[in-house]
Amino acid sequence: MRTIYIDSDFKCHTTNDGAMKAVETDFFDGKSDSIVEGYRFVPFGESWTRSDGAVFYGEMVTPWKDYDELDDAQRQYEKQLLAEYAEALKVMGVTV
Amino acid sequence: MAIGRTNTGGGGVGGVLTVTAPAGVTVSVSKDGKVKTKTSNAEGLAVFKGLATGTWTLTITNGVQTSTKPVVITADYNTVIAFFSATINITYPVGSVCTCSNGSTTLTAPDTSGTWKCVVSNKGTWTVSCTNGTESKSETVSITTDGQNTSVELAYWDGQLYDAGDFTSITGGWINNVGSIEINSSELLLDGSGCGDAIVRAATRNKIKFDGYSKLSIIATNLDKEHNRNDGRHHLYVATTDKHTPTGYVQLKDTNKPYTLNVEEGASVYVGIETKNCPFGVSKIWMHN
Repeated sequence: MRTIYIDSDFKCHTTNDGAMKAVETDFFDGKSDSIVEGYRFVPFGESWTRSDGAVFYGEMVTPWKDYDELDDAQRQYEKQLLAEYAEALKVMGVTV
Repeated sequence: MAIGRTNTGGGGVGGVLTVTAPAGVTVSVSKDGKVKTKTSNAEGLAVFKGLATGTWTLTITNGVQTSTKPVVITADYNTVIAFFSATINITYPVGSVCTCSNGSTTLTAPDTSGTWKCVVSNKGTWTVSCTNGTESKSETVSITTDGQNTSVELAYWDGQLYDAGDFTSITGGWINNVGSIEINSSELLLDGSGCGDAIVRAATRNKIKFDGYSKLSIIATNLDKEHNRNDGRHHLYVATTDKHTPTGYVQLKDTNKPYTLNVEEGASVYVGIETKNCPFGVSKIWMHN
């Protein structure tokens, strides 16, 4: 479970600027901060109106950035994590 | 419908048959090659005298419809006969040719406007069909009662993924990670019962292209709210890379109402449903705008 913050447009953030609402969710477990920042989280009981006027009701989690861009960011994040794990294991004398 | 007069007494050889029918129609009785014909009067009456005992075939026609029934003459007899009529209100894709057939009679819509009030003259199963030359759709209607008024709506594929059956040519079928999945004409059922804390998901085998669509909706039939064995986790989701790793979802709370997920128009994604330790039954999943 992770705490993220949503602004008035339901866009997600990893830090609170003081005007955001805190939300607990497991959707972003294992996800990079750049993934979080590319999503909207609409809580249950609230609604978000898309630019074309379509209304969507929560609980809904949906990206507002391009899927491919978010995927690339996550792949880079996971590669970095693997590299860090490998380095840590190397320090412990474990060869990967 | 008026009740025919009983013709009492009377002289002459043979029975008197008094027929009550729609006014102004041709009424005929036939037996053993002998045919007698009259036109019903303004009150709908036609009287046949001197009919030998036995079974006569009574027929009425107005040049468009025909109705027939057997009549057993043993003495003076009155009977009522009418044309059967039922209406099928048909909506079909504009520009398509629409027909309605019971196997022996085929009716064709007078135009391709997309609406047709089709009047049928017989009970039974009628097949309503439409085609635009490349696509076609049919549905059957059961007509049982004179005066019956029923509706049929025909549509070619328009974004459905599951709707009283899987659109396998689009979805490629569904695959679950754990639990069980059952797909029939009643529902798509993902059952996570007995899977503990595992998140149970089922997704389309194919990626679905949201060409011209930007919404994905679902209607559930079973959220197992009665048992409330899970934490309320019933999701409709989309996934971009791994079909069982959601990249967006909407949560369902109640059955028999639509829940809608925003999807980027033009996106190509797997579509899935998710539950936890209980059944999740679905009646419809579809793309739309």
